[in-house]
Amino acid sequence: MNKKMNLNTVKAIALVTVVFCMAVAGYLFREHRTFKETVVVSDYCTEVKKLSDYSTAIKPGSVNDCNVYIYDSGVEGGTFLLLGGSHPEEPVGPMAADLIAENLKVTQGRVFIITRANKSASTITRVGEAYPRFFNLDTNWGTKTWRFGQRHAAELDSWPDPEVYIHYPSGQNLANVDIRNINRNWPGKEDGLISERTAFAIMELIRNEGVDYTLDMHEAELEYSVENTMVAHEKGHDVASIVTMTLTAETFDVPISMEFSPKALRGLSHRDIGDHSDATSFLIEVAEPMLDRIRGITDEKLLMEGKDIFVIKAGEHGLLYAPIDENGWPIEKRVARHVATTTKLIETYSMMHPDQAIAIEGIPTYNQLLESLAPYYRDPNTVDSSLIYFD
Amino acid sequence: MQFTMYHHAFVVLGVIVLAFIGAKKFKLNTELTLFVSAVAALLAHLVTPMGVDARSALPFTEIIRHFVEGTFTYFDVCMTFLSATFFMTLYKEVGGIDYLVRVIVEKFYKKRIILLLLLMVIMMVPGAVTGSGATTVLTVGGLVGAVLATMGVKEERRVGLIFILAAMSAACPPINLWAMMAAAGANMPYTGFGVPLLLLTGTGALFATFYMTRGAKCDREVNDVVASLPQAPEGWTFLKAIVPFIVLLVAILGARVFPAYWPVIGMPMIFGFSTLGVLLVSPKKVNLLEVGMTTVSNLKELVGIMVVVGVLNQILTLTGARGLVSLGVVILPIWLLFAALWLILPVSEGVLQYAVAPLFGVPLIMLFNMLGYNPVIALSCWAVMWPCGDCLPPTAVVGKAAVMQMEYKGDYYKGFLKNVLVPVLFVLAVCTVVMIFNKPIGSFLGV
Amino acid sequence: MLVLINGFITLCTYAIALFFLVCIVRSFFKTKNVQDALVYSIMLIPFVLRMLRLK
Repeated sequence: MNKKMNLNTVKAIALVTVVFCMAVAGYLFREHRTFKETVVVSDYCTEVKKLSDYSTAIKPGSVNDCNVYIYDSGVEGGTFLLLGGSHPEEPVGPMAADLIAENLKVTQGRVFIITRANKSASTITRVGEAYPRFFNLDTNWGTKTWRFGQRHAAELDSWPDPEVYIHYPSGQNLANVDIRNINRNWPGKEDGLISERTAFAIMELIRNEGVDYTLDMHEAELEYSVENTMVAHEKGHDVASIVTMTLTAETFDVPISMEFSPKALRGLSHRDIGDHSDATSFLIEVAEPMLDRIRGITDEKLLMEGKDIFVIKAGEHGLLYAPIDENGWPIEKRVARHVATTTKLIETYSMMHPDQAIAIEGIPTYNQLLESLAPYYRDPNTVDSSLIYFD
Repeated sequence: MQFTMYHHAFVVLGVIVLAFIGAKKFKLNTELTLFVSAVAALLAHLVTPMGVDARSALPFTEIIRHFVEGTFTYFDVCMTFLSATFFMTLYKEVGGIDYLVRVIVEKFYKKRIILLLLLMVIMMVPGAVTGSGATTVLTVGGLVGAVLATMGVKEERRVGLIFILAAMSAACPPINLWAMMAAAGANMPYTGFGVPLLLLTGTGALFATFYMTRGAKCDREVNDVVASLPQAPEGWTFLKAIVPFIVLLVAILGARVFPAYWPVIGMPMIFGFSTLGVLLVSPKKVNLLEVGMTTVSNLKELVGIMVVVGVLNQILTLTGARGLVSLGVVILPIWLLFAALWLILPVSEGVLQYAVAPLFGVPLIMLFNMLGYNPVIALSCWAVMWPCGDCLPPTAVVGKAAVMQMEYKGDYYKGFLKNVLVPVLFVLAVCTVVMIFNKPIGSFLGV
Repeated sequence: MLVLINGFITLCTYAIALFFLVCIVRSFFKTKNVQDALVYSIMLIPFVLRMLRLK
């Protein structure tokens, strides 16, 4: 009798504890998944469309039906698409895209901005990686918050995975989870899973709007060889070499290199956007110590300050592809590099392709952003509600 | 002396080891021992200074979130285990295994070498197409084990052989999850691995098959052997018996042959369809819920370990302990890596399962790349070494699956593990040699 | 059409998860071993949260 009571007591306690833990964690997961990021577009944003406007592959109002911020000068020129948030565990993409969207003025040509290309992936954290759920930036008007996500679309939006992912249309074998990785899905598949359909819809945007060139913003671990670089499709090698040389000579303390987009690796934006449309595709990487497997304590501090003594130690042993010291790779530097590269790309492309020229204003300089990002994110409480959007 | 993050991570690792030993002394099972270790690690993380710089706050609710989130790390793997075992348990309950064993023994008993090669191929296929050694054990391990028993192979060697062939099948191309995950993490295309993986796993499988069955003779009369086997229920035919496996193969291979038009079925549903196949052809009816309960009960240890190891992995990452271990491996001198990876990789697999592939694999690929070595050959070797550790504690997933499936009652360490030592060491030795000579071998194979 | 079929397969996968959740819950209540009960209670977590579509 005592033994039975003990067993029942243990079961009761276990059940209550587990239900409590599930309730707490479930609430936090839900909070993360439904959190709405605020984007306050600049006064020169002419239209905000949804991705579903470009393709029926994305259902209106579905999780990956992201905002497409359009800046149309009304003056004939080129068309540029800026992609952020392909990998939501790389915060600089959405931060830089958001910053540009909040400050941009286009005086010639058109600019399209997507801050959350794979929104599904931003609504969930990566299991086993102990990621924080959000990252924050303190401004003088309050705290601006973004979701911190994972590389792949959420399992709640795409389940199950196949045993192996066979890339469409190349037939290349990739890891099974990469069927949810938009940067392995290009050019997308109209009847595929959510990330494939999202890539397809963005390709439709590129084709229907006559986008001339695209830039996909990423970050990478310092152990990774494609680091602090611009990867260019062969259509853009000339532009990329000038952009990277100029930035290295005039602006950046850590050089930005240039890589040719390899033809053997399929599904990446720098390869397959260029192969399957008239657009020239570029991708940029900057160092993010948070992604290194050899990192120490995993928290928001590491994400934002980019300082980690384990990663520094690996650097001392010559195991890294980017330099790192006690100053780390702070978020200001990473965002500044991406914003500066974007503006330089637009400037250089326009110089080399005058018929596709785009002229922009209002974007802070590299040095201004190095000092602080905060002044360049607008206070939603001081603007007209028609300028406020949620991603 | 300043207390740095190194000290912090060392303390956390030390506490994990102490907690593990303590929990085992209190006779907790492995799953709860690992869970207690994770809790202890978290407490050590909260109590010990984290280094000179202040860290982000870690509220109590976030701590709970990390524990709960960690349980999802191997959720898909657990679903595959459960559905594969359910399929095979059902197949066994309705007499399909008994029927197939009788057919195989009748036809091939007297042709020992052909029989052994046939059994080896049967064992290699499920893991080769799913990447999971446990799936191999859970689907065909029982069948192959039963045939080996009729050949007079001793029990420890039968279980051992089932484990090794399952490990080799998991590493066998086209699907090798370790290579795929490490390559994905290093942004390396998963191409060129087929031939090296096939050669390594084929060599290992052949050696293990003939080494573990040495001395076993098929010298009894076939009729006597068949008579000693359990009777299958009336109504089974060969066509009916293979229908579920045909469904399984079609469901898997369909995606390879028609990738653009085939739906994404996923392993749980593939086994779901195979289960439907069993239900359609079986002459015997069973209670599915009872089969489900049996499945869950049999897999409690395996699935429990996978769930808890996920939690441990999450806490190790949160506290920096995982990073310290990974850093420790990659800063070793290359000669020491060559000399020690045969031990480090299987042991790490025994602790963290598939999580080790991106954890060690990615930095090692970067390192080998930087040193001008052939990363395809090197990763192929590691991807065959890792599954050899699937018999090692504390997780020992495939080893325990083999023991469970074969209903082995002997001692896990002195019986089972002792028997697999020679073939496992053979495989590790071959992989080490190939890893050392990665450049000439890579040139020779054209990868 | 393929999108519909994939959606149907997703539903079936949820059904499989629900089936095993029921088995785990039954096993939890049936078991007479304290340690097994604790293990089953931990095993429940991902199944419940996936069925509730929280993670």
